[in-house]
Amino acid sequence: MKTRSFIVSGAPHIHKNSSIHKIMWNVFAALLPASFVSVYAFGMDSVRVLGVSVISCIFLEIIALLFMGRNWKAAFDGSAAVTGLLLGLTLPSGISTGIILVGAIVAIIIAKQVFGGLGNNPFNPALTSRVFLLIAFPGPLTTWPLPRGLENIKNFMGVATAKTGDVITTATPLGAIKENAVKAMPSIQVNDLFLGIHTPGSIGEISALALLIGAAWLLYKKIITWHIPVATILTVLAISLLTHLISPEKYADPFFHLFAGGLIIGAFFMATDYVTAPIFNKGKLIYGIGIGVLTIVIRLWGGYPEGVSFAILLMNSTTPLIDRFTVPKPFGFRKARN
Amino acid sequence: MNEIIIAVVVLAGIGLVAGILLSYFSKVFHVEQDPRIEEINENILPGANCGACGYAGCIDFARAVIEAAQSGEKLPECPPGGPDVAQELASFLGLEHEGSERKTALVKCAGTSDRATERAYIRSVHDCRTAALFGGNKECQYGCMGYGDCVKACPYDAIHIYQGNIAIVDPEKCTACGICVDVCPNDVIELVPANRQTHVLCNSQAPTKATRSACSVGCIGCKLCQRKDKDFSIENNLAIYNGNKGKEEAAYACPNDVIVNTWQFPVVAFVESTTAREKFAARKAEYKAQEKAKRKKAAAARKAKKAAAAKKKKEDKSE
Amino acid sequence: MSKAKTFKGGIHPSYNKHLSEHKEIVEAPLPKMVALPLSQHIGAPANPIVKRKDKVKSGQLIAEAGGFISAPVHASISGTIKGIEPVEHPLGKKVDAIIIESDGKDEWIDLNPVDNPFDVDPDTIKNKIKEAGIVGLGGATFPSNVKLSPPEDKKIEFIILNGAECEPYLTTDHRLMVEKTEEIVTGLKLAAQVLGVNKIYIGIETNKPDAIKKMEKKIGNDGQVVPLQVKYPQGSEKQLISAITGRETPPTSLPMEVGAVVFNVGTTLAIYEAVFKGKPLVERVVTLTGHGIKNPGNFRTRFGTYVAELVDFSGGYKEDAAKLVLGGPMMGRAVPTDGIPIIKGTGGILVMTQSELIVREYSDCIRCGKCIEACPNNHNPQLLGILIEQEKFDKISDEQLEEIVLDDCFECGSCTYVCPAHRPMVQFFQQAKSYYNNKKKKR
Repeated sequence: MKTRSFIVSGAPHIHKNSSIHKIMWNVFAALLPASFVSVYAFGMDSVRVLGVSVISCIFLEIIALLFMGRNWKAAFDGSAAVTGLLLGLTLPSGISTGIILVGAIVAIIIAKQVFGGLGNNPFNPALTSRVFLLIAFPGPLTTWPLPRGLENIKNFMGVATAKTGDVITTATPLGAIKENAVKAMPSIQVNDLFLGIHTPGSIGEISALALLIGAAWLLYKKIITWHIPVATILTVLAISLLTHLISPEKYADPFFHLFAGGLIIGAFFMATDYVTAPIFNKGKLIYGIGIGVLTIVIRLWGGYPEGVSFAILLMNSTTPLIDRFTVPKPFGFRKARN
Repeated sequence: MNEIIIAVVVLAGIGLVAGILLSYFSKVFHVEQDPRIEEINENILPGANCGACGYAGCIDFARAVIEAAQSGEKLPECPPGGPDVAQELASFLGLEHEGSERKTALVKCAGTSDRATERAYIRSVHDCRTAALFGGNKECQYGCMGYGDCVKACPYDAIHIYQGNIAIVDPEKCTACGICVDVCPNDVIELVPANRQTHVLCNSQAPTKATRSACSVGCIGCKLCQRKDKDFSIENNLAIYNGNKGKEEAAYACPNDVIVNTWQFPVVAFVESTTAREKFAARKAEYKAQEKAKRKKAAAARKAKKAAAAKKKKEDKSE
Repeated sequence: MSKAKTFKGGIHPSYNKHLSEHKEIVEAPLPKMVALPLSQHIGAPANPIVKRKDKVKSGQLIAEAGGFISAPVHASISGTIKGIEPVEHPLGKKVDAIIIESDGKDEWIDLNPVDNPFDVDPDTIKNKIKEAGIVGLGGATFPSNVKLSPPEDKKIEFIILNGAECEPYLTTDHRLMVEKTEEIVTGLKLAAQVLGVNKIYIGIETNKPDAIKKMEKKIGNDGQVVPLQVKYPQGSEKQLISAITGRETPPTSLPMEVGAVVFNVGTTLAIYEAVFKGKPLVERVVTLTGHGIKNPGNFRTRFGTYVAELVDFSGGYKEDAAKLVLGGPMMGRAVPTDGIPIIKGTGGILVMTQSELIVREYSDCIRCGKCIEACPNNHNPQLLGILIEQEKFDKISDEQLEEIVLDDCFECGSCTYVCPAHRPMVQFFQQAKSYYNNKKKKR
């Protein structure tokens, strides 16, 4: 009898054909609509910020992997690109290239590779880097150039524009609210916030619509689940509605809080970062609620106009704890007999 | 100015209070520890924290030693430290020391990839324990698979994978901690006395026919070595050597060259080097030739004796 | 038809059943030589009672059961015993097997069917099943007579026929349900009577509408056909019970704990043949399929037939055949050679091509949680995988993962199937299980 040799390997012998590569580039693609809007609003500056950020992150990832003797090709799995794009999207368009490079170093080297690379970082690299930059360079990080369509205004929501170098700058909607309370409100339309083309702010956070298109793609591809974003957004809406009802003169309405600032990009793209978010569905809800509460608390009563980054980073630190206490009961523990 | 003074005063105050509390609690909650534990840990033990003794690190082992000494039990053993450390411990604690034998690990396999038959190509598997789940990569189910789990486990860098995918122990570096013995899924590594100079480099307990088809240097349990040297015994189709230094004849008698005498060839050379193998083959041939000549001579002598006896008989008869 | 039932978790692999699901079962020719491993079932290996050069007839007992949880082995062809030698076994390590060379006549021993099986004492039936060497043919190969003899304090309320056949590619049970409906239903009713149960459920995935129709017609009012959602691992005993009755079997215990007994389709047919025809278990239906095979199909094959011989009969391999899997693609084992016998637990033979080989170089876990969604047992493969990878076995014991998770994991492979980091979770669990087994042995 003639026999033939075969390759041996472990079961299962088929695979869903998913990969980190695919997931990460899908997230990257989901961020592209927001990037295009930013290019429309801020022009070539936005291309520069995003380009420098993405390319330097990938480059640093290659260096870090080579330094640790790992396979450098893993730098193209998309996670560095997503980190770079997210970092770029959270910066103002007028920021200098040097600061972006510092941000990339913090994100890739300090926040990610030092902990062991993808899968082992306790904090979201892009956000860690953004918060680092915000504290290290408070000036440049809160200097918001005027977007297309607002070039000729003298004040935005009651905050006078200023000239920083050659660029005319202003405040973000949240900053204006912080400064002038709700008397600034009538001058901004929720519509504008939603479309985001006539709003100053970080490159990526201005257009809620573009972000939601990306988020829908992620949900459709089952890359993220609804738990974290829904919990976060509902919490923000609930608390802001309550405060608005109590004192409409002092606190902005819920839709303003929903579409202004980084809530959408934070809730859909950053809080859902696999590595730093809880893994069980119950834990995800708790985590989302935590982010919502912290965000709105910082926005309404904190020193900064925007609190999403801080809220997510703070909740990142609770992830191991949440995971520990939300382990679901294994099969057979719930009900033996009816 | 005022603010600065307040800040300094508050800080200094907190520091003072905390300091007082700390020093107070360190006295109240002081844990009495035998100073000898620290002494043993720092001056006597190797300090590798390898865990081979079964305790979590050297400091734990030191604690166990003190406890054992106080209750009069036998002291736990530090395998990497061997008899030296045992001796030192005993003298430090003022106890009698009963000598324990120094050991070294031995990989009982010489089945390099050119000698052993390949059973399967196991895709994307890089460690022995996983490979063992699939029945191993070699036809022989007892030999070294060569993925190097022992190499990774060895805290002393004493095992290496050589050409032909065989792990070989460096007896100079080996401390006989036994970690490799535990990780090997095929149980091919054994702790042997360090002064043993003759080894059987095979672990195959399979029947003769199976071993023969699986490997060209497998022990088939033919007992030829036992005939030359009584220190060999055969269990489960496998020769086991129990002495210190075997007779050369036994190695030459082996049909598959499984037995190595380390005073002739170190294990590494015997497994790896073709020149060593050639030398061994030459010596074996020489020995065989001598044997043959001896046998011939003996036969001739017997014949002559017989002839002489016959002649004598004849003469006796004729007389 | 009511709404299809199911369990929580699971995955949807591509099934590829079209390759063989409409091919009628073909009788494979008598093999020239068979190798019958002494260990084809869970439990103690059988003890051989024949020796070299003995002449045996088909169906003759050649090895006795080696304990309570064990099963005898029968000669599957008539011929001469060539010896007892170690052969490649589908489970990895080589095991001893009785080799029989065929005389080409296929002379059978005298068969003693049970007369009027529905009227005799249950013990007679159980004995007959035990003597016939019947084990679960679904893959777990648990001796069937043990399943039919529950301890007295366990009240059995249901008997479930497992026609889910959730493994991709395999169509054995499907074809049997279509072609041998009568025999299967009779065997099932007999098993129900032996157990003293009157609730009979037949669980079939909705991708086998012809089987559902036929079984529904045949069982009539004596039982209920439950259509099940097409999802892997729907055919796992505990998941099947959960889907049909809503009861969850506690970890580490048998289904009889919740009053259920599950039988595979092939097993009920074997019970029928043993009792009504007196035939011991010497053959089974095997799906030979995959893209590396020229003519996929379903074949009735004698045990001990070498895979190579069956493949030759079917028409041979395609050029790029690269991997041979005994069983389905999810839980089956890849074997190094086709010089390997078909045994009681071999439900399918899958030949995969070079291009179907999957990536298995893995990276660190990215905590995406897909494995947790997929796990039918609601375990946490992610954490356990990491702990095993880092060899933190004492941590596993501390968290009691060893008892409640590892023991209960039946290695369905769902977690590994979905993992985007390609982590070989099943291998990790197997490794940990062998670690704990070794530890128990040493103790």
